[in-house]
Amino acid sequence: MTKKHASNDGPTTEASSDLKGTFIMVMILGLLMVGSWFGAYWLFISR
Amino acid sequence: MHLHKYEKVWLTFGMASLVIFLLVIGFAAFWKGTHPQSHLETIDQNNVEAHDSFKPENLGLTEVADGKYKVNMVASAFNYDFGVDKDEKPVKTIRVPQGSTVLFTITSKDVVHGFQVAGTNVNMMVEPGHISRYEAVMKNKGEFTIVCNEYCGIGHHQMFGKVEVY
Repeated sequence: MTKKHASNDGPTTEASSDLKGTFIMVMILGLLMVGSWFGAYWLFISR
Repeated sequence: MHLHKYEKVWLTFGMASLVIFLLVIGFAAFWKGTHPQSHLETIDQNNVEAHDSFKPENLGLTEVADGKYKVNMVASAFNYDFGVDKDEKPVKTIRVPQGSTVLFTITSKDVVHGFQVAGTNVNMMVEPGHISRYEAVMKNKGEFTIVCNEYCGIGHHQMFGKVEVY
């Protein structure tokens, strides 16, 4: 039983995997979307 | 369920954006009254002259108050009717002073046309049987080309005019 428990540690190690690159890409995409929205809004206001 | 710290951050970011953009749409629709340019008002496309705005003498530019103008127009294949000038010649250029508020009202006699004053926010679909309106403040000086941006037939490219803001 104790051995099985130890093997369940697998997912925990996976969860703490390095997501830094994914995080940066997600934020870049998000800022692109928000930026293009404000760009279109600025066009609408300035015309 | 275990979530990575970063996952929490981008999920919050994503959901917050969704809520903010939905609120923006709600604000525009219910508070500012934004709606499609041709809404509710209908007209008999075979007898547009029966409507007060589209009587031949009411077409074109009219000053309704200080700094407030209205432009009544009839679109047909392949022309915009802005009325006639003093010499009975068809008007092709609409001249308004900078900063004036202009209400563009247009309908179509035949097929779907477009009405876009390129470089401004004035951009409408013109549908037969419907009246399209758009009120705009002409903030910037210059010459702006009016174009039909809905393909309406063989002479589509010949449908144009000009708005001059001085």
